[in-house]
Amino acid sequence: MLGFFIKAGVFYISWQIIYDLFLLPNGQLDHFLSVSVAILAKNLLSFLGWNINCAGRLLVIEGYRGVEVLNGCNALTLMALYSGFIIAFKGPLKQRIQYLSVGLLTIYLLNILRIMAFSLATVYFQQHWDTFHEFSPFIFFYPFVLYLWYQWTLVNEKKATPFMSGLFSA
Amino acid sequence: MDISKRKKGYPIYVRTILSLIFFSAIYITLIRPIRVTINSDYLYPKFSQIALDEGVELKENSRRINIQKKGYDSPRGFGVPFGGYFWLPLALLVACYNWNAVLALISYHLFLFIIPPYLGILFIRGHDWAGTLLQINEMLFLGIFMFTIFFGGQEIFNKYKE
Repeated sequence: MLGFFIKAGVFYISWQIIYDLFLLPNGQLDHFLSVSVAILAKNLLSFLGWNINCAGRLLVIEGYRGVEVLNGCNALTLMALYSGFIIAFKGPLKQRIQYLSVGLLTIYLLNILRIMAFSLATVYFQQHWDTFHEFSPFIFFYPFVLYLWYQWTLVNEKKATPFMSGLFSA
Repeated sequence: MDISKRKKGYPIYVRTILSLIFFSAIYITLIRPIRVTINSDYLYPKFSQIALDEGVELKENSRRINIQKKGYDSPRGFGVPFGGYFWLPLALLVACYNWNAVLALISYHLFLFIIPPYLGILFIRGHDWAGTLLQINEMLFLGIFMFTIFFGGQEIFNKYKE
């Protein structure tokens, strides 16, 4: 267990240093994650019949306050957090890659739903928007991340549930 | 028979629910207002004075110090320790009687009372590396929260299955 914590700690520290020194000044990864999430959230809300505009990272439902996808809201930190556990906890390489790919993609998709929910929150409960924003990871991300981590620990014990075994058996 | 029952105590799911209710009540009624007071009466005035001297902007938040420096997309800073990210894992760890982890968690949050504020002052005073360390601290903070929830939850789940 100590080895796991050391590996995870080293991963997080290294990630943060790489992010701060290279990825943040470069800006492309953050820009891609933020803008693509904003565009996809806008398209999905438009598809559902909402009159919504998107300019870069900003989403505005006509007549309501806008929502801006800042770097802190593009789920990159959570992707790193999720990956740290999968990398640090021992398991077979092939399945590790599968868990990383599916997990990161799903976090990205969940973030689209989250940003859509933020936009809708400006319509339905603007006065509670900050609280909703603060607790949104507990609704959209943490249950999923904890579930996949749990499945990953079971993979190591060869006990993955049929659902996850099927998902990752290809 | 009686003694063995008493030793075993309540079932794990009852302990978990009671622990979550107890610590949530303590947090909402007592700790949260104290954290707000510590921030608004002590930390924020001190930091805003230093920030004013250095020409740096502080973003207002009731339980955090957010330092917004020029050239940074979003603010960097730290939260007042012993918040929800302490009490929720604590409730799980207490429920499964994992006292070593409880002690480690308390020690970590005591550490958060000293190091991040110091890094915050250094960051305001122009030491940009302290900003990186603040971000590392935020990352580890989130990681420790999630890991504690995960391993605490897993322990409870395993005890429940027994």
